Amino acid sequence: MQTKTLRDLKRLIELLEVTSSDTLNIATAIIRNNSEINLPELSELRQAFTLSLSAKTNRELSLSVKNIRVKLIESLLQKIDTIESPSSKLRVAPSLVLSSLDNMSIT
Amino acid sequence: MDWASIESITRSEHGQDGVYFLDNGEEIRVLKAPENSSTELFLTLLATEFRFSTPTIEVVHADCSAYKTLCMAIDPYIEKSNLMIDTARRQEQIKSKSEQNLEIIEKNTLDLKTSPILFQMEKLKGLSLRDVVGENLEDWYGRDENLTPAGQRFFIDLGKLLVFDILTRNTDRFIFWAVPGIGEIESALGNIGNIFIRSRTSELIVIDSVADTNIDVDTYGNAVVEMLTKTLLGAPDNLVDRGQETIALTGYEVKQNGRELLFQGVRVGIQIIETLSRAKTLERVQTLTLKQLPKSQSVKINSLFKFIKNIELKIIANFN
Repeated sequence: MQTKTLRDLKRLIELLEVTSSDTLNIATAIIRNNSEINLPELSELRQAFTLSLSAKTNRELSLSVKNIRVKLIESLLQKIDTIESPSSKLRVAPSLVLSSLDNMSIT
Repeated sequence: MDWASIESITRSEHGQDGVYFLDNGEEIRVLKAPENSSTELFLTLLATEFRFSTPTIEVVHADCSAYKTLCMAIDPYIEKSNLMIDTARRQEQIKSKSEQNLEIIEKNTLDLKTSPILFQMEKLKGLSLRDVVGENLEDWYGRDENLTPAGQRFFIDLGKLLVFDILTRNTDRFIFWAVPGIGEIESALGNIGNIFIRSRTSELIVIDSVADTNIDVDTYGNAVVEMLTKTLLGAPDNLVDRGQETIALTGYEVKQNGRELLFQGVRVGIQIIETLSRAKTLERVQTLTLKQLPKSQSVKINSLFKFIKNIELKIIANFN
């Protein structure tokens, strides 16, 4: 199951690098078929995309699409990272350890 | 593609005949059953000869060994999709005329029992101009005052495409509304969904070409000569103007540089017609199309060939 999820997450990144009604619909179908993936940012992206197409010269709206897409891809990369490196929490640990050491008083 | 392992089929929101995305978890392929498959195949092959990028098409029809397997694999998904279309259409039909969404009402369902000719195609990575805004084009090509090499190539290609569409009487791409010889055909109000940009290279890909040959060919030939003459002389309402108006639908502003490149593209397009004529390219495209489709399509293919050949000869006679 994890392999399928990993594969789907990677495909979602590739798909959503370009935003169109088709890629959004295909992405929705992938998520529908994989209960392991939850991607709330997708509906946010769809809304922003629809809005941006309704006012094609509005730079703010097209910037919003770009920002949401970046956020969404970051979220997908994070999910991949979590699956690929179960020890990823350990990788964060050194900084936590250091910061806790900073707070220690040496007696 | 391994049909047995299809995980989902998604119908595109756009297109009357239905474009389906088949996903087997490994790859996504496009499947469609164009109402006029012979025209689309002929024009796609011709567009390649016109030095355009086009999607690869694999024709699957009832005489092909893969046809039955493919139909069996997609049938449940297509049934479901047809039901959804029927429901959506019914919902629109009960609305008042002014509130109806005609795009939904005019959607065709796909009846596999009639053994339609199917096209299996690559899923292109990129966007049709329908899905872009002005800023996207600026990112890819720069503004008109500062066009990148990709932008310059895009506008030249667009100029060539104007000639290609006039040659084949394609009324479903540029704003050709009221152009002599085309007249007031609704689709001629512009369908930028049929201009596609590949994301990796930003190059123009010609998709979904159609030809409306429902006109006296001599009348149309004269209109084509008139339009091309007007364009080369820079007279008002010429092909460059129509190209500019069409791109404006994306929110991108085409100014002097874009117009000059469009003009350059028109001239290149006319030159290509001369080259293709010398090389008997139309004849080769006709043969290739006939080879890939069932015999029942040969009358349509030959008739389209004759129409385009007539226009080609008219252009050669006037602009050589």
